[in-house]
Amino acid sequence: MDFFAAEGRAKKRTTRLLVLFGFAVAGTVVAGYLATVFALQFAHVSGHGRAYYGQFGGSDRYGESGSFDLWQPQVFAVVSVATVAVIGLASLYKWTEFRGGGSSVAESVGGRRVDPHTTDPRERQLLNVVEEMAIASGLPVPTVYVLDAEPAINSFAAGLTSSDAVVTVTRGALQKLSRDELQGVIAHEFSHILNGDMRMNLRVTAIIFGILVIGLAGRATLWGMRYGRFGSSRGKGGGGVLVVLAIGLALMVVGYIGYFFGKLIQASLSRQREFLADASSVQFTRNPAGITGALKKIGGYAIGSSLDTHRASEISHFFFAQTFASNFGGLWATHPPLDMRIRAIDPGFDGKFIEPPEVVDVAREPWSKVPHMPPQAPSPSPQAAVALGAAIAAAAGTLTPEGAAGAQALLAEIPAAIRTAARSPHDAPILVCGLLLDDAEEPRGKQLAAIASDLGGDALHTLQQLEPALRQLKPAHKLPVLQLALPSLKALEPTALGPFAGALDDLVQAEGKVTTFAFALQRLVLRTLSIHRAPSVSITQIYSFQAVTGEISVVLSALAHASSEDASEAARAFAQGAAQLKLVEGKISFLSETDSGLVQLDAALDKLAGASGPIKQRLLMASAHVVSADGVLLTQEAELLRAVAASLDVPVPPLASLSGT
Amino acid sequence: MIAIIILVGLLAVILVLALSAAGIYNSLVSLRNRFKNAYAQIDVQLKRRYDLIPNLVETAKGYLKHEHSTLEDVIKARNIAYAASQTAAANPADSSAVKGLVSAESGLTGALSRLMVVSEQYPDLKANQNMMQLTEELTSTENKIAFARQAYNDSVMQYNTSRETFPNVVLAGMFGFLPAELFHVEDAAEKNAPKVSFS
Repeated sequence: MDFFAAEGRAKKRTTRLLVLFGFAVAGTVVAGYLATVFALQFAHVSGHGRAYYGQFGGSDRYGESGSFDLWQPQVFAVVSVATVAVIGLASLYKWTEFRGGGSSVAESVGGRRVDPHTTDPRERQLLNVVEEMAIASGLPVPTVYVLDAEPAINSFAAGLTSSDAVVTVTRGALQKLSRDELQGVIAHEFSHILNGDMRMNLRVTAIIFGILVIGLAGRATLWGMRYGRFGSSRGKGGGGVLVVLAIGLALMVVGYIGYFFGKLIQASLSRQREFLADASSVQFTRNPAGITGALKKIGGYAIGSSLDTHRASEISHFFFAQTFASNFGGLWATHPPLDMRIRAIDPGFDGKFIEPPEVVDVAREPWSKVPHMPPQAPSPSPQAAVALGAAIAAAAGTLTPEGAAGAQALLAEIPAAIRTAARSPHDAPILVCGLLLDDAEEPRGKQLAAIASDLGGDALHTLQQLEPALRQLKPAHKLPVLQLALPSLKALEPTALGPFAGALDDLVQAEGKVTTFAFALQRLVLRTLSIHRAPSVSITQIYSFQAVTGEISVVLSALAHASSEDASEAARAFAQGAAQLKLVEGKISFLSETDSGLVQLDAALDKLAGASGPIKQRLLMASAHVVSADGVLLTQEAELLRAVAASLDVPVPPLASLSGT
Repeated sequence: MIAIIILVGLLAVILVLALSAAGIYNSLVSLRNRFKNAYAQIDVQLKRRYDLIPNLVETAKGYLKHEHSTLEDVIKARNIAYAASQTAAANPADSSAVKGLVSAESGLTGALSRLMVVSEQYPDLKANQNMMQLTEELTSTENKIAFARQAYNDSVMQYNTSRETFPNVVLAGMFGFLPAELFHVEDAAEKNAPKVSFS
């Protein structure tokens, strides 16, 4: 690519967009002015405007003829000064948010400053690459931050001047990118620093915020009129009120329209700056393969460049790649599509992204910080039983180093082919369908036919490749595999969700009966992808235990029956759980196996999903006590418990490491 | 009355001209400083390379017992290049001293690349933490030298373009902004810096 020409093009387009933006601001002022003039005219016609008009200090332009002058310098001066003042003040407010410089931005999203004397090889390499790029771009060496909590590949530069600039990369970028690719990404960030993109973006953001404030002021006026002085001024005639009302409405419309277009221009401006930064990255590194490699990896990994941090959306313009999914054909996207960016550098790009490596390196997975522990023989003693229940409930929603180490050991036992498939957005749905396949020949044939009709013939081919690995898989590991696949499922296109949900339904039906695993799988998948088969779930929250005693009975009974074939044993488990719910202990009752089947459980969980947080928490605690009453966690118990937890929206770490089957 | 208006108009024009001239002057100065800084960086990184090499050889020594001559070659080349750089620094205007430095540098680069090829065959050495760190530092230094040259050339190009375009060219002549020279690598071997890679 001719990067100098590409840089020139991007800069020219930026200028054009900035001019357009200037027009948008000017248009806002003119529209505000016109609105005011017409409102005054309207007030005059209705006979009460003279007094208001007099406030502007002008001579009476509304002669007896009723004609009016479109050009009224006094009004224009007042309107434009007011608009500029509002925009200016709002900009000042936004500006103060960033006055702490780049490091305050990096720290606000959870960045950790990399020690200049670090001995960690990856961090050392990062610092070296940053120094190299500082030399290549002729800028001072910025402070370097790492986002330890982000496994995605992304980075950003922040800072209003090159001296307070910082460069931040995610841990994912540090681990997944090669040296050359990292260099390309860092060079891209240096271009943002060199071209003052953050300063420009902040100015634009501030002005847009100012325009929004105009709209908000208009809205506030309207609301004020609605609740305020309407009654008192009605007696004197509505003219004055109407004038204020009209001005308020006009301000609101002008402000919101200005905001809309301002945002649109800003997004497109941001995309041009990305092209510029990509071209500069090639200029600095003289190595197009580096940055295209990084972009291809972002495209190939399921997690891509999306970040967890909520704050990230506020500074999404500064990142290397898109941090959130964008709708409306990318109109609002802060970054151009990946393939477009790659083609801008390498026109011969064949559209193939770099897929994650075949063998998943367990040591480099997100929990790599945890020291490796040998897998422990899963044989919980009866004495440990009491502790187990509390441990499960306490573990909900948290991740301890022990849990992470257990998960690591667990992950190592899952065949590599399956782990790879679970991480690919393309193979994950097929893998999940594969988990549901029956071992017996007769239902299996029907199930394969269902997969072929719902997901197409390719799916069968993929399934065949996975088959040996699937047959090796222990039943207790099916649920953890599903959990591995869930993030990839989230990356599915909305159009692919329907066939996938259909396939799951067909598979379960072909089997003839619903197993606890199939039940848990469907609930987990539907919950995660928020596909609700029936929108009948009430949206009103339930705050009272009394209102859900029936449902609680069903859940605890179902779990109790899963824990033991023996009815008296099950009753004992149920009692253990019920003892946790002191408030309603007397009102819930142990139901027979037929009254607490999966159909009843399904309905009960749907209703409980609408319960308030404390109810869900207590219920999960009680459920954990039921399944751990006998000190043994069967696979089907674990599956049901997970289905319950998923329905209640309480995440639980993998339990299979505790399983005693 | 008219005279006053004309006078004010003239003053305004002069003010605008003076301001834009100051702007052009400042931008030329900052461009000139940028390429000068880039040039200084080349020097800094060459020195850093001289400092790194003895450490690298020291670490490799324990593993490369049978490659004594290769290691000695590296040390010898490093010492020659270091001496040449001292002479060149003493008389920067002397073109023969600069040429001597360039050929000494290419000798060092060749010796280093031979060492890297040899150490490829010693997995223990490759796995050595210290060695990994040193090679990373050496890679980075080689990169920095290349990037410093490239940045020098890029900024010289920018500076020259800026001083040759229209309004600037007038002022550039007046304030003595001379055209800058691009950095040429004279030795063919020097163009192929060794690829330090253990992957």
